[in-house]
Amino acid sequence: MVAYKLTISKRVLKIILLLIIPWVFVVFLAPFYNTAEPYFAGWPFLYWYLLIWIFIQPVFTFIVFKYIDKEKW
Amino acid sequence: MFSNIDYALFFLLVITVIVVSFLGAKWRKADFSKISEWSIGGRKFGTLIIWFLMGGDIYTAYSLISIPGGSYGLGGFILYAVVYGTMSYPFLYYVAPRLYLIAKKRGMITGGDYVKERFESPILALLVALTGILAMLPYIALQIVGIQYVLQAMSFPVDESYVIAFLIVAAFTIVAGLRGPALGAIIKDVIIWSVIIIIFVVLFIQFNGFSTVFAKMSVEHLNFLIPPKLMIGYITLGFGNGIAWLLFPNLLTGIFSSKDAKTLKKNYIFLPVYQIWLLFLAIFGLIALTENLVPNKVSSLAFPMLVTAYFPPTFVIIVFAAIIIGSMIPAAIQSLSAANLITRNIYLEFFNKKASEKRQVLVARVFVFIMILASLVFALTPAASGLIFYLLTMSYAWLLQTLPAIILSLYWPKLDKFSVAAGWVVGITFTTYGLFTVNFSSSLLPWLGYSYVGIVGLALNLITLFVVHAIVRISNVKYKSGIKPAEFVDFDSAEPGIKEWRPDDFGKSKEL
Repeated sequence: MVAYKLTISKRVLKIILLLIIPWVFVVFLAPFYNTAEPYFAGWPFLYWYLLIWIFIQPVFTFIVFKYIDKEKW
Repeated sequence: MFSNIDYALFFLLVITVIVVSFLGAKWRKADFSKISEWSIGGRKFGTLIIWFLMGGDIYTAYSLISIPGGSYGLGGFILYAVVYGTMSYPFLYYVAPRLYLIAKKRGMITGGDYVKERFESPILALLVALTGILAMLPYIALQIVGIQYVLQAMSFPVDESYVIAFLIVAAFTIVAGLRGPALGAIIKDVIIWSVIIIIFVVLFIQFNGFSTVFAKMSVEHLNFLIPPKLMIGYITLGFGNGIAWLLFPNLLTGIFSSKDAKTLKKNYIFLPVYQIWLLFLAIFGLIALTENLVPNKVSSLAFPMLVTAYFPPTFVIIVFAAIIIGSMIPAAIQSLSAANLITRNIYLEFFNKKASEKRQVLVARVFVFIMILASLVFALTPAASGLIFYLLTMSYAWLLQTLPAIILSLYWPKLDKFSVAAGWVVGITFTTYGLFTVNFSSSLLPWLGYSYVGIVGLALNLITLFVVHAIVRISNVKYKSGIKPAEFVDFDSAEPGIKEWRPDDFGKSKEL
Protein backbone atom coordinates (compact mmCIF):
# COMPACT_ATOMS: atom_id res chain seq x y z
CA MET A 1 0.00 0.00 0.00
CA VAL A 2 1.71 3.15 -1.19
CA ALA A 3 -0.08 6.35 -0.35
CA TYR A 4 0.25 9.32 -2.65
CA LYS A 5 2.63 11.59 -0.77
CA LEU A 6 3.77 15.10 -1.56
CA THR A 7 7.42 16.09 -1.36
CA ILE A 8 8.38 18.28 1.59
CA SER A 9 8.79 21.41 -0.55
CA LYS A 10 5.37 20.94 -2.14
CA ARG A 11 3.83 20.40 1.26
CA VAL A 12 5.38 23.63 2.56
CA LEU A 13 4.10 25.50 -0.48
CA LYS A 14 0.64 24.05 0.12
CA ILE A 15 0.71 25.21 3.74
CA ILE A 16 1.78 28.70 2.66
CA LEU A 17 -0.96 29.01 0.05
CA LEU A 18 -3.79 27.52 2.09
CA LEU A 19 -2.97 28.50 5.66
CA ILE A 20 -0.29 31.19 6.03
CA ILE A 21 -1.49 33.56 3.31
CA PRO A 22 -5.17 33.79 4.36
CA TRP A 23 -4.26 33.86 8.07
CA VAL A 24 -1.84 36.75 7.58
CA PHE A 25 -3.56 38.84 4.92
CA VAL A 26 -7.17 38.37 5.95
CA VAL A 27 -6.95 37.90 9.71
CA PHE A 28 -3.76 39.16 11.34
CA LEU A 29 -3.22 42.25 9.18
CA ALA A 30 -6.63 43.56 10.31
CA PRO A 31 -5.18 46.60 12.16
CA PHE A 32 -3.55 47.69 8.85
CA TYR A 33 -6.49 47.15 6.51
CA ASN A 34 -8.95 48.74 8.95
CA THR A 35 -8.90 52.14 7.24
CA ALA A 36 -11.28 54.18 5.13
CA GLU A 37 -8.59 55.51 2.76
CA PRO A 38 -8.05 54.92 -0.09
CA TYR A 39 -11.64 54.85 -1.26
CA PHE A 40 -12.51 52.91 -4.39
CA ALA A 41 -15.77 53.79 -6.15
CA GLY A 42 -16.97 55.27 -2.87
CA TRP A 43 -16.20 52.10 -0.89
CA PRO A 44 -13.82 52.43 2.09
CA PHE A 45 -10.61 50.37 1.86
CA LEU A 46 -11.78 47.92 4.57
CA TYR A 47 -14.79 46.89 2.50
CA TRP A 48 -13.26 46.51 -0.93
CA TYR A 49 -10.16 44.84 0.51
CA LEU A 50 -12.27 42.10 2.10
CA LEU A 51 -14.41 41.88 -1.06
CA ILE A 52 -11.43 41.21 -3.34
CA TRP A 53 -10.02 38.63 -0.89
CA ILE A 54 -13.23 36.64 -1.28
CA PHE A 55 -12.03 36.12 -4.87
CA ILE A 56 -8.23 36.08 -4.44
CA GLN A 57 -8.07 33.17 -1.99
CA PRO A 58 -9.98 30.70 -4.24
CA VAL A 59 -7.36 31.40 -6.93
CA PHE A 60 -4.61 30.23 -4.55
CA THR A 61 -6.73 27.25 -3.59
CA PHE A 62 -7.19 26.43 -7.26
CA ILE A 63 -3.41 26.64 -7.83
CA VAL A 64 -2.95 24.04 -5.09
CA PHE A 65 -5.67 21.85 -6.62
CA LYS A 66 -4.26 21.97 -10.13
CA TYR A 67 -0.47 22.27 -9.73
CA ILE A 68 0.41 20.80 -6.34
CA ASP A 69 -2.23 18.13 -5.77
CA LYS A 70 -2.40 17.62 -9.57
CA GLU A 71 -6.08 16.73 -9.35
CA LYS A 72 -7.93 16.31 -12.64
CA TRP A 73 -11.03 18.48 -12.87
CA MET B 1 -50.23 45.09 3.99
CA PHE B 2 -50.06 41.81 2.05
CA SER B 3 -52.74 40.74 -0.42
CA ASN B 4 -54.13 37.24 -0.73
CA ILE B 5 -52.02 36.69 -3.82
CA ASP B 6 -48.90 37.56 -1.80
CA TYR B 7 -49.84 35.00 0.81
CA ALA B 8 -50.50 32.42 -1.90
CA LEU B 9 -47.02 33.09 -3.29
CA PHE B 10 -45.52 32.70 0.18
CA PHE B 11 -47.16 29.34 0.76
CA LEU B 12 -46.27 28.18 -2.73
CA LEU B 13 -42.54 28.75 -2.08
CA VAL B 14 -42.50 27.25 1.40
CA ILE B 15 -44.59 24.24 0.40
CA THR B 16 -42.42 23.58 -2.66
CA VAL B 17 -39.35 23.30 -0.44
CA ILE B 18 -41.20 21.01 1.97
CA VAL B 19 -42.50 18.71 -0.77
CA VAL B 20 -39.08 18.51 -2.42
CA SER B 21 -37.51 17.69 0.95
CA PHE B 22 -39.97 14.83 1.46
CA LEU B 23 -39.25 13.57 -2.05
CA GLY B 24 -35.61 13.21 -1.01
CA ALA B 25 -36.62 9.81 0.38
CA LYS B 26 -37.21 8.53 -3.17
CA TRP B 27 -34.01 9.98 -4.54
CA ARG B 28 -31.10 7.83 -5.77
CA LYS B 29 -32.26 4.42 -4.60
CA ALA B 30 -32.37 5.10 -0.89
CA ASP B 31 -32.11 1.96 1.24
CA PHE B 32 -32.96 3.10 4.73
CA SER B 33 -32.06 -0.18 6.42
CA LYS B 34 -28.48 1.17 6.29
CA ILE B 35 -27.56 3.95 8.72
CA SER B 36 -25.16 5.64 6.30
CA GLU B 37 -27.88 5.81 3.62
CA TRP B 38 -30.20 7.69 5.94
CA SER B 39 -27.77 9.83 7.92
CA ILE B 40 -25.25 10.90 5.26
CA GLY B 41 -27.11 10.15 2.05
CA GLY B 42 -25.03 7.04 1.34
CA ARG B 43 -21.81 9.04 0.78
CA LYS B 44 -22.58 9.73 -2.85
CA PHE B 45 -23.29 13.44 -3.20
CA GLY B 46 -21.49 15.11 -6.10
CA THR B 47 -19.97 18.58 -6.41
CA LEU B 48 -23.16 20.52 -7.08
CA ILE B 49 -25.24 18.88 -4.32
CA ILE B 50 -22.45 19.39 -1.79
CA TRP B 51 -22.19 23.02 -2.85
CA PHE B 52 -25.87 23.63 -2.18
CA LEU B 53 -25.93 21.46 0.94
CA MET B 54 -22.92 23.09 2.61
CA GLY B 55 -24.00 26.55 1.51
CA GLY B 56 -27.49 25.82 2.76
CA ASP B 57 -26.07 24.77 6.07
CA ILE B 58 -23.58 27.60 6.63
CA TYR B 59 -25.59 30.55 5.35
CA THR B 60 -28.84 30.48 7.30
CA ALA B 61 -31.78 32.69 8.27
CA TYR B 62 -29.64 33.59 11.25
CA SER B 63 -27.03 35.16 8.93
CA LEU B 64 -29.76 37.08 7.08
CA ILE B 65 -30.89 38.58 10.39
CA SER B 66 -27.72 38.81 12.48
CA ILE B 67 -25.20 40.20 9.96
CA PRO B 68 -27.23 43.32 9.03
CA GLY B 69 -28.14 43.56 12.72
CA GLY B 70 -24.45 43.40 13.60
CA SER B 71 -23.32 46.12 11.22
CA TYR B 72 -26.32 48.23 12.24
CA GLY B 73 -25.26 48.00 15.87
CA LEU B 74 -21.46 47.72 15.79
CA GLY B 75 -20.30 48.90 12.36
CA GLY B 76 -17.34 47.11 10.79
CA PHE B 77 -16.85 44.67 13.66
CA ILE B 78 -19.31 42.19 12.13
CA LEU B 79 -16.96 41.80 9.15
CA TYR B 80 -15.19 39.15 11.23
CA ALA B 81 -17.89 36.87 9.82
CA VAL B 82 -16.61 37.56 6.30
CA VAL B 83 -13.04 37.03 7.48
CA TYR B 84 -13.53 33.63 9.06
CA GLY B 85 -15.30 32.30 6.01
CA THR B 86 -12.47 33.42 3.72
CA MET B 87 -9.99 31.68 5.96
CA SER B 88 -12.10 28.56 6.66
CA TYR B 89 -12.33 27.19 3.14
CA PRO B 90 -8.59 26.87 2.43
CA PHE B 91 -8.18 25.44 5.95
CA LEU B 92 -10.85 22.85 5.19
CA TYR B 93 -9.13 22.10 1.88
CA TYR B 94 -6.06 21.18 3.88
CA VAL B 95 -7.62 19.14 6.71
CA ALA B 96 -11.04 17.86 5.58
CA PRO B 97 -9.93 15.32 2.90
CA ARG B 98 -7.79 13.54 5.50
CA LEU B 99 -10.68 13.14 7.95
CA TYR B 100 -13.13 12.36 5.14
CA LEU B 101 -10.97 9.55 3.70
CA ILE B 102 -10.41 7.79 7.02
CA ALA B 103 -14.15 8.09 7.76
CA LYS B 104 -15.01 6.61 4.38
CA LYS B 105 -12.58 3.75 4.80
CA ARG B 106 -13.82 2.85 8.29
CA GLY B 107 -17.51 3.61 7.71
CA MET B 108 -17.61 6.46 10.24
CA ILE B 109 -20.71 8.64 10.41
CA THR B 110 -19.81 11.21 13.10
CA GLY B 111 -16.79 13.02 14.53
CA GLY B 112 -17.29 10.90 17.66
CA ASP B 113 -16.88 7.72 15.58
CA TYR B 114 -13.48 8.97 14.45
CA VAL B 115 -12.33 9.95 17.96
CA LYS B 116 -13.43 6.56 19.30
CA GLU B 117 -11.32 4.64 16.78
CA ARG B 118 -8.35 6.98 16.72
CA PHE B 119 -7.90 6.93 20.51
CA GLU B 120 -9.67 3.62 21.16
CA SER B 121 -11.62 5.53 23.77
CA PRO B 122 -15.43 5.59 23.87
CA ILE B 123 -15.23 8.05 26.77
CA LEU B 124 -13.28 10.63 24.78
CA ALA B 125 -15.76 10.08 21.93
CA LEU B 126 -18.57 10.71 24.41
CA LEU B 127 -17.01 14.03 25.49
CA VAL B 128 -16.71 15.14 21.86
CA ALA B 129 -20.26 13.98 21.08
CA LEU B 130 -21.76 15.76 24.10
CA THR B 131 -19.97 18.98 23.15
CA GLY B 132 -21.47 18.68 19.66
CA ILE B 133 -24.99 17.86 20.82
CA LEU B 134 -24.96 20.72 23.30
CA ALA B 135 -23.87 23.10 20.54
CA MET B 136 -26.65 22.01 18.17
CA LEU B 137 -29.50 22.54 20.63
CA PRO B 138 -29.30 26.35 20.98
CA TYR B 139 -28.37 26.58 17.28
CA ILE B 140 -31.67 24.95 16.26
CA ALA B 141 -33.58 27.04 18.81
CA LEU B 142 -31.99 30.13 17.29
CA GLN B 143 -33.26 29.22 13.83
CA ILE B 144 -36.74 29.03 15.36
CA VAL B 145 -36.56 32.36 17.20
CA GLY B 146 -34.97 33.99 14.14
CA ILE B 147 -38.23 33.88 12.18
CA GLN B 148 -40.27 35.56 14.91
CA TYR B 149 -40.44 39.03 13.39
CA VAL B 150 -41.27 37.69 9.94
CA LEU B 151 -44.21 35.73 11.35
CA GLN B 152 -45.46 38.79 13.23
CA ALA B 153 -45.18 40.97 10.14
CA MET B 154 -47.35 38.51 8.21
CA SER B 155 -49.77 38.46 11.18
CA PHE B 156 -49.38 34.74 11.77
CA PRO B 157 -49.76 33.46 15.34
CA VAL B 158 -46.09 33.15 16.33
CA ASP B 159 -45.99 30.20 18.72
CA GLU B 160 -48.36 28.04 16.68
CA SER B 161 -46.37 28.78 13.51
CA TYR B 162 -43.10 27.77 15.22
CA VAL B 163 -44.61 24.45 16.21
CA ILE B 164 -46.12 23.71 12.79
CA ALA B 165 -43.02 24.77 10.81
CA PHE B 166 -40.58 22.77 12.88
CA LEU B 167 -42.72 19.67 13.22
CA ILE B 168 -42.71 19.66 9.42
CA VAL B 169 -38.90 19.94 9.55
CA ALA B 170 -38.79 16.96 11.91
CA ALA B 171 -41.16 15.03 9.61
CA PHE B 172 -39.17 15.38 6.39
CA THR B 173 -35.87 14.77 8.16
CA ILE B 174 -37.24 11.59 9.74
CA VAL B 175 -38.65 10.38 6.44
CA ALA B 176 -35.83 11.28 4.07
CA GLY B 177 -32.70 11.59 6.24
CA LEU B 178 -29.97 13.86 4.84
CA ARG B 179 -31.39 13.52 1.33
CA GLY B 180 -34.34 15.69 2.46
CA PRO B 181 -32.46 18.86 3.43
CA ALA B 182 -29.94 18.22 0.60
CA LEU B 183 -32.67 18.52 -2.03
CA GLY B 184 -34.48 21.25 -0.11
CA ALA B 185 -31.23 23.23 0.11
CA ILE B 186 -31.10 23.52 -3.67
CA ILE B 187 -34.40 25.41 -3.78
CA LYS B 188 -33.59 27.33 -0.61
CA ASP B 189 -30.31 28.62 -2.02
CA VAL B 190 -31.74 29.46 -5.43
CA ILE B 191 -34.39 31.58 -3.69
CA ILE B 192 -31.95 33.29 -1.29
CA TRP B 193 -29.34 33.91 -4.03
CA SER B 194 -32.00 35.57 -6.21
CA VAL B 195 -33.35 37.64 -3.33
CA ILE B 196 -29.94 38.90 -2.23
CA ILE B 197 -28.81 39.72 -5.75
CA ILE B 198 -32.03 41.60 -6.51
CA ILE B 199 -31.82 43.60 -3.28
CA PHE B 200 -28.15 44.31 -3.95
CA VAL B 201 -28.70 45.52 -7.50
CA VAL B 202 -31.68 47.72 -6.63
CA LEU B 203 -29.97 49.32 -3.63
CA PHE B 204 -26.65 49.58 -5.50
CA ILE B 205 -28.37 51.76 -8.09
CA GLN B 206 -30.42 53.66 -5.51
CA PHE B 207 -27.37 54.58 -3.41
CA ASN B 208 -25.00 55.25 -6.27
CA GLY B 209 -22.87 52.13 -5.74
CA PHE B 210 -23.25 52.58 -1.95
CA SER B 211 -20.89 55.57 -2.09
CA THR B 212 -23.64 57.81 -0.68
CA VAL B 213 -24.09 55.42 2.28
CA PHE B 214 -20.43 55.56 3.26
CA ALA B 215 -20.26 59.32 2.57
CA LYS B 216 -23.24 59.95 4.82
CA MET B 217 -21.70 57.80 7.54
CA SER B 218 -18.45 59.83 7.53
CA VAL B 219 -20.36 63.10 7.66
CA GLU B 220 -22.43 61.92 10.62
CA HIS B 221 -19.36 60.39 12.31
CA LEU B 222 -20.89 56.92 12.31
CA ASN B 223 -18.38 54.12 12.48
CA PHE B 224 -18.17 51.74 9.54
CA LEU B 225 -14.67 50.57 10.53
CA ILE B 226 -13.65 48.05 13.19
CA PRO B 227 -13.57 49.86 16.57
CA PRO B 228 -9.85 49.84 17.61
CA LYS B 229 -10.87 48.77 21.12
CA LEU B 230 -12.28 45.54 19.66
CA MET B 231 -9.38 44.79 17.29
CA ILE B 232 -8.05 41.84 19.32
CA GLY B 233 -11.60 40.55 19.60
CA TYR B 234 -12.02 40.80 15.83
CA ILE B 235 -8.80 38.91 15.12
CA THR B 236 -9.34 36.19 17.73
CA LEU B 237 -13.00 35.67 16.78
CA GLY B 238 -12.12 35.51 13.09
CA PHE B 239 -9.26 33.09 13.68
CA GLY B 240 -11.10 31.00 16.27
CA ASN B 241 -14.12 30.47 14.05
CA GLY B 242 -11.90 30.05 11.02
CA ILE B 243 -10.32 26.88 12.39
CA ALA B 244 -13.50 25.53 14.00
CA TRP B 245 -15.68 24.53 11.04
CA LEU B 246 -14.51 20.92 10.95
CA LEU B 247 -15.66 20.62 14.57
CA PHE B 248 -19.29 21.52 13.87
CA PRO B 249 -21.34 18.29 13.73
CA ASN B 250 -23.69 19.73 11.09
CA LEU B 251 -20.81 20.66 8.77
CA LEU B 252 -19.13 17.32 9.35
CA THR B 253 -22.34 15.60 8.27
CA GLY B 254 -22.17 17.53 5.00
CA ILE B 255 -18.48 16.69 4.54
CA PHE B 256 -19.01 12.96 5.16
CA SER B 257 -21.86 12.85 2.62
CA SER B 258 -19.49 13.73 -0.25
CA LYS B 259 -18.73 11.01 -2.81
CA ASP B 260 -14.97 11.56 -2.73
CA ALA B 261 -12.32 13.93 -1.39
CA LYS B 262 -11.91 15.65 -4.76
CA THR B 263 -15.56 16.73 -4.59
CA LEU B 264 -14.76 18.46 -1.31
CA LYS B 265 -11.67 20.14 -2.73
CA LYS B 266 -13.61 21.51 -5.70
CA ASN B 267 -16.16 22.89 -3.29
CA TYR B 268 -13.56 24.73 -1.27
CA ILE B 269 -12.71 26.57 -4.48
CA PHE B 270 -16.33 27.44 -5.28
CA LEU B 271 -18.07 27.71 -1.89
CA PRO B 272 -16.32 31.01 -0.99
CA VAL B 273 -18.58 32.75 -3.53
CA TYR B 274 -21.29 32.55 -0.86
CA GLN B 275 -19.18 34.96 1.20
CA ILE B 276 -20.33 37.91 -0.89
CA TRP B 277 -23.74 37.49 0.77
CA LEU B 278 -22.19 38.33 4.09
CA LEU B 279 -20.45 41.45 2.82
CA PHE B 280 -23.61 42.63 1.06
CA LEU B 281 -25.69 41.92 4.16
CA ALA B 282 -23.26 43.97 6.28
CA ILE B 283 -23.72 46.91 3.89
CA PHE B 284 -27.51 46.47 4.04
CA GLY B 285 -27.27 46.94 7.82
CA LEU B 286 -25.36 50.21 7.31
CA ILE B 287 -28.13 51.46 5.01
CA ALA B 288 -30.73 50.67 7.68
CA LEU B 289 -28.61 52.77 10.06
CA THR B 290 -28.03 55.82 7.84
CA GLU B 291 -31.62 55.91 6.59
CA ASN B 292 -32.93 55.44 10.13
CA LEU B 293 -35.26 52.60 9.18
CA VAL B 294 -35.31 50.64 12.42
CA PRO B 295 -37.84 51.47 15.15
CA ASN B 296 -36.52 51.48 18.75
CA LYS B 297 -33.04 50.50 17.51
CA VAL B 298 -33.84 46.77 17.62
CA SER B 299 -30.90 45.61 15.53
CA SER B 300 -32.44 42.28 14.53
CA LEU B 301 -35.09 44.20 12.56
CA ALA B 302 -32.51 45.91 10.30
CA PHE B 303 -32.89 43.49 7.39
CA PRO B 304 -36.69 43.03 7.34
CA MET B 305 -37.20 46.80 7.79
CA LEU B 306 -34.80 47.63 4.98
CA VAL B 307 -36.60 45.29 2.58
CA THR B 308 -40.01 46.61 3.64
CA ALA B 309 -38.86 50.20 3.08
CA TYR B 310 -37.58 49.78 -0.47
CA PHE B 311 -39.59 46.97 -2.04
CA PRO B 312 -43.23 46.23 -2.92
CA PRO B 313 -45.16 43.78 -0.68
CA THR B 314 -45.01 40.96 -3.24
CA PHE B 315 -41.20 41.00 -3.14
CA VAL B 316 -41.13 41.46 0.63
CA ILE B 317 -43.15 38.29 1.09
CA ILE B 318 -40.70 36.35 -1.12
CA VAL B 319 -37.90 37.58 1.16
CA PHE B 320 -39.90 36.47 4.18
CA ALA B 321 -40.41 33.05 2.59
CA ALA B 322 -36.63 32.93 2.03
CA ILE B 323 -36.01 33.66 5.73
CA ILE B 324 -38.46 30.93 6.83
CA ILE B 325 -36.97 28.38 4.40
CA GLY B 326 -33.51 29.54 5.43
CA SER B 327 -34.32 28.54 9.00
CA MET B 328 -35.96 25.20 8.21
CA ILE B 329 -33.27 23.55 6.07
CA PRO B 330 -30.35 24.25 8.46
CA ALA B 331 -32.49 23.13 11.43
CA ALA B 332 -33.05 19.83 9.62
CA ILE B 333 -29.31 19.24 9.10
CA GLN B 334 -28.48 20.32 12.66
CA SER B 335 -31.05 18.05 14.29
CA LEU B 336 -29.97 15.18 12.08
CA SER B 337 -26.30 15.58 12.98
CA ALA B 338 -27.10 15.74 16.70
CA ALA B 339 -29.27 12.63 16.35
CA ASN B 340 -26.36 10.85 14.62
CA LEU B 341 -24.07 11.66 17.56
CA ILE B 342 -26.64 10.43 20.09
CA THR B 343 -27.24 7.22 18.15
CA ARG B 344 -23.66 6.33 17.34
CA ASN B 345 -21.67 7.59 20.29
CA ILE B 346 -24.15 7.24 23.15
CA TYR B 347 -26.87 4.69 22.29
CA LEU B 348 -24.74 2.26 20.27
CA GLU B 349 -21.74 2.62 22.56
CA PHE B 350 -23.26 2.58 26.02
CA PHE B 351 -26.78 1.17 25.75
CA ASN B 352 -26.95 -1.38 22.98
CA LYS B 353 -23.62 -2.44 21.49
CA LYS B 354 -25.29 -4.97 19.20
CA ALA B 355 -27.88 -2.63 17.69
CA SER B 356 -28.49 -3.52 14.06
CA GLU B 357 -28.25 -0.80 11.41
CA LYS B 358 -32.01 -0.83 11.05
CA ARG B 359 -32.32 -0.24 14.76
CA GLN B 360 -29.82 2.64 14.59
CA VAL B 361 -31.86 4.33 11.86
CA LEU B 362 -34.95 4.02 14.05
CA VAL B 363 -33.18 5.48 17.10
CA ALA B 364 -31.73 8.34 15.05
CA ARG B 365 -35.20 9.14 13.69
CA VAL B 366 -36.63 9.25 17.20
CA PHE B 367 -33.85 11.60 18.30
CA VAL B 368 -34.39 13.97 15.38
CA PHE B 369 -37.89 14.40 16.75
CA ILE B 370 -36.62 14.82 20.32
CA MET B 371 -34.00 17.41 19.26
CA ILE B 372 -36.60 19.49 17.42
CA LEU B 373 -39.02 19.17 20.33
CA ALA B 374 -36.37 20.21 22.85
CA SER B 375 -35.41 23.20 20.70
CA LEU B 376 -39.08 24.22 20.44
CA VAL B 377 -39.40 24.09 24.22
CA PHE B 378 -36.29 26.28 24.43
CA ALA B 379 -37.67 28.77 21.94
CA LEU B 380 -41.18 28.90 23.42
CA THR B 381 -40.37 29.21 27.13
CA PRO B 382 -39.65 32.89 27.85
CA ALA B 383 -37.22 32.02 30.64
CA ALA B 384 -35.36 29.63 28.35
CA SER B 385 -35.30 31.84 25.25
CA GLY B 386 -32.98 34.25 27.04
CA LEU B 387 -30.80 31.27 27.83
CA ILE B 388 -30.43 30.40 24.13
CA PHE B 389 -27.98 33.21 23.51
CA TYR B 390 -25.96 32.28 26.59
CA LEU B 391 -25.80 28.70 25.48
CA LEU B 392 -24.88 29.74 21.97
CA THR B 393 -21.88 31.86 22.95
CA MET B 394 -20.84 29.07 25.29
CA SER B 395 -21.26 26.23 22.84
CA TYR B 396 -19.15 27.82 20.08
CA ALA B 397 -16.29 28.34 22.50
CA TRP B 398 -16.80 24.81 23.79
CA LEU B 399 -16.71 23.25 20.31
CA LEU B 400 -13.30 24.81 19.72
CA GLN B 401 -11.98 22.73 22.63
CA THR B 402 -12.47 19.55 20.58
CA LEU B 403 -9.87 20.71 18.04
CA PRO B 404 -7.03 18.55 19.43
CA ALA B 405 -9.24 15.44 19.42
CA ILE B 406 -10.45 15.86 15.84
CA ILE B 407 -7.82 17.89 13.94
CA LEU B 408 -4.51 17.62 15.80
CA SER B 409 -4.90 13.84 16.04
CA LEU B 410 -4.97 13.60 12.22
CA TYR B 411 -1.37 14.82 12.02
CA TRP B 412 0.19 13.68 15.28
CA PRO B 413 0.26 9.87 15.49
CA LYS B 414 1.71 9.81 19.01
CA LEU B 415 -1.00 12.02 20.49
CA ASP B 416 -2.59 10.14 23.42
CA LYS B 417 -6.09 10.18 24.88
CA PHE B 418 -5.04 11.31 28.37
CA SER B 419 -3.53 14.60 27.24
CA VAL B 420 -6.45 15.32 24.87
CA ALA B 421 -8.97 14.66 27.67
CA ALA B 422 -6.99 16.80 30.15
CA GLY B 423 -6.79 19.64 27.61
CA TRP B 424 -10.51 19.37 26.96
CA VAL B 425 -11.31 19.64 30.68
CA VAL B 426 -9.07 22.69 31.12
CA GLY B 427 -10.41 24.35 27.95
CA ILE B 428 -14.05 23.78 28.87
CA THR B 429 -13.50 24.89 32.46
CA PHE B 430 -11.74 28.09 31.43
CA THR B 431 -14.27 29.07 28.75
CA THR B 432 -17.17 28.46 31.13
CA TYR B 433 -15.44 30.46 33.88
CA GLY B 434 -14.55 33.24 31.43
CA LEU B 435 -18.15 33.53 30.26
CA PHE B 436 -19.33 33.67 33.88
CA THR B 437 -17.08 36.69 34.47
CA VAL B 438 -18.94 38.58 31.75
CA ASN B 439 -22.34 37.13 32.71
CA PHE B 440 -22.55 35.37 29.33
CA SER B 441 -23.27 38.75 27.72
CA SER B 442 -20.56 38.36 25.08
CA SER B 443 -17.83 35.93 24.07
CA LEU B 444 -15.13 38.61 24.38
CA LEU B 445 -13.29 39.09 27.67
CA PRO B 446 -12.87 42.80 28.60
CA TRP B 447 -10.22 41.88 31.19
CA LEU B 448 -8.06 40.27 28.49
CA GLY B 449 -8.11 43.05 25.90
CA TYR B 450 -11.49 41.86 24.58
CA SER B 451 -10.04 38.59 23.32
CA TYR B 452 -12.31 35.70 22.30
CA VAL B 453 -12.81 33.32 25.21
CA GLY B 454 -12.68 30.24 22.94
CA ILE B 455 -9.17 31.05 21.66
CA VAL B 456 -7.81 31.73 25.15
CA GLY B 457 -9.39 28.44 26.24
CA LEU B 458 -7.79 26.64 23.30
CA ALA B 459 -4.38 28.08 24.18
CA LEU B 460 -4.68 26.77 27.76
CA ASN B 461 -6.07 23.51 26.37
CA LEU B 462 -2.96 23.06 24.19
CA ILE B 463 -0.54 23.98 26.97
CA THR B 464 -2.16 21.37 29.23
CA LEU B 465 -2.07 18.87 26.38
CA PHE B 466 1.68 19.31 25.84
CA VAL B 467 2.47 19.07 29.56
CA VAL B 468 0.35 15.96 30.14
CA HIS B 469 1.67 14.38 26.95
CA ALA B 470 5.25 14.89 28.16
CA ILE B 471 4.36 13.23 31.47
CA VAL B 472 2.65 10.33 29.69
CA ARG B 473 5.70 9.76 27.49
CA ILE B 474 8.23 10.05 30.32
CA SER B 475 6.33 7.70 32.61
CA ASN B 476 5.76 5.21 29.78
CA VAL B 477 2.00 5.01 30.21
CA LYS B 478 0.53 2.68 27.58
CA TYR B 479 -1.99 4.00 25.09
CA LYS B 480 -3.20 2.85 21.71
CA SER B 481 -4.38 4.24 18.43
CA GLY B 482 -6.91 2.28 16.39
CA ILE B 483 -5.64 3.89 13.20
CA LYS B 484 -2.13 3.35 11.83
CA PRO B 485 -0.28 6.51 10.74
CA ALA B 486 -0.01 5.16 7.17
CA GLU B 487 -3.78 4.94 6.93
CA PHE B 488 -4.10 8.72 6.95
CA VAL B 489 -4.05 9.95 3.37
CA ASP B 490 -4.90 13.22 1.63
CA PHE B 491 -5.85 11.81 -1.76
CA ASP B 492 -8.64 9.66 -3.12
CA SER B 493 -6.36 7.33 -5.00
CA ALA B 494 -3.38 5.59 -3.51
CA GLU B 495 -1.21 6.50 -6.47
CA PRO B 496 -1.22 9.61 -8.63
CA GLY B 497 -3.06 9.19 -11.87
CA ILE B 498 -5.58 6.68 -10.57
CA LYS B 499 -8.95 8.30 -10.85
CA GLU B 500 -11.21 6.08 -8.78
CA TRP B 501 -10.83 5.42 -5.09
CA ARG B 502 -10.49 1.65 -4.72
CA PRO B 503 -11.44 0.04 -1.42
CA ASP B 504 -8.80 -2.62 -2.18
CA ASP B 505 -6.04 -0.07 -1.74
CA PHE B 506 -6.69 -0.14 1.98
CA GLY B 507 -8.35 -3.49 2.41
CA LYS B 508 -12.14 -3.73 2.23
CA SER B 509 -13.86 -0.78 3.83
CA LYS B 510 -15.42 -1.92 7.04
CA GLU B 511 -19.20 -1.59 7.30
CA LEU B 512 -20.16 -0.78 10.86
